[in-house]
Amino acid sequence: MHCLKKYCFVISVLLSCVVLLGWADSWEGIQKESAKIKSVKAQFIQSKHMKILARPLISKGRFYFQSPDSVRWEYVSPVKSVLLMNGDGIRRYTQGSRGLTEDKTGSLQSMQVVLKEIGQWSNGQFTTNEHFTAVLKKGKEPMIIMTPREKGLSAMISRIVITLSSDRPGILKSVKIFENEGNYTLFEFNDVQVNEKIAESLFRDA
Amino acid sequence: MEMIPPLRYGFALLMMAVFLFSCSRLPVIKPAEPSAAAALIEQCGRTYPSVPYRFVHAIEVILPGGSSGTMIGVTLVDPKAAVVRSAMMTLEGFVLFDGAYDKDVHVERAVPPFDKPHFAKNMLGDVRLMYLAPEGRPINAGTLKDGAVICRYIGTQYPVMDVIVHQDGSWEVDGYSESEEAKRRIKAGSVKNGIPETVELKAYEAWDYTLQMRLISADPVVQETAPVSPERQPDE
Repeated sequence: MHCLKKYCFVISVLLSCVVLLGWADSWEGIQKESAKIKSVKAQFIQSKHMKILARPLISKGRFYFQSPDSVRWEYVSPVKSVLLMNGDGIRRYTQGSRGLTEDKTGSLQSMQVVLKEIGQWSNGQFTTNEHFTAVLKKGKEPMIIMTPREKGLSAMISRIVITLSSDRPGILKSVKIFENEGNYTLFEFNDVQVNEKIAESLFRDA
Repeated sequence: MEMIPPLRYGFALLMMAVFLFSCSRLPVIKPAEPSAAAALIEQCGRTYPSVPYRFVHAIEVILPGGSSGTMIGVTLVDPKAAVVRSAMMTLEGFVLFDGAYDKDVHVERAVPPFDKPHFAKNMLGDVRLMYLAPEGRPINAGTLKDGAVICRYIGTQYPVMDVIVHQDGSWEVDGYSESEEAKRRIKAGSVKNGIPETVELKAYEAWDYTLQMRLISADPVVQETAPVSPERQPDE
């Protein structure tokens, strides 16, 4: 369970970054752009790289965010799964042998941590985060490199690299989470739509 | 009404007999002619990969009470070397466990609560049971009442192991304790080109669990690619 709590930090980074990163040459710029974003719709491709895999394991899905704290994180392949987060709490449904069933294993309790983390990231508060140090790399493709502050967390996640879109303020290009040598997950976002209306039911119904 | 002593003892004996019968679930084998037994044992052996293979599964773990969760499992099998390597990750790609069995258990990565020694041993044991032919010697081969082929082994992993091949190509592997109590039941279904699309594993322990596995990909391992090193990422 402890690991899942730590993993929530990763998820929170992923979710919040899609939502809130603004085009920036400075932390102040990121915070300024963050405030402008009220909703996000995007598709994502997740590529899992491991030594044990000959080729990356590809997952695809969709992501929805509505300020202040509603999220729908949906996988369409290879396993259908929906994570719903709103004012009522957090739920996860996965397609299994008994249809679309709610995850009752208890891991969702840990996912509550995500909510708190998102609140922090959503304000563009990278530099004051208690779990990661953040370095902003300026350039053609600006990047934020995050390194765990705690030894326990760094044993599971060595670093996170967030690449910002070079031409769309508030949009990120990818998030890469490194776990250990040869083991990382790349999330690439496309068809990103910002501040468009999203039906409330998407955050309520699986 | 109070039972008189002889009836009470009789009832106790009856219950004990029922209990023993319920625990003793070894299926009855109609033995094959000695000349045909070798062919049946060979048929049982064909349920396992004969060359190194890589499998990716969606794994639904069902716990007592019906609660469930889903993960992705990656397994490398080298049947000749009797080596398996297996990794388990969340749908988001976070690796919870990565370990191998090569005459002994080796853990490369395990995050709590998957870092308990018995977890690695049990998980890799289940993987071996699914993908590696029994290491013990066959003691019987024949057919079941429904015509399925069955091979029984004195195993090393379990004292008694049955491999059952049904006429539709689906197969089962069952592991029993010394008292012939079922400890594992594996059922593989929708077999195409020797690869099952679905596998169900039921474990009968102090804490029972069920794994429902759906195949995502299966590829023979022809040549391993070089390990992907974080040090050589171009975008960093």
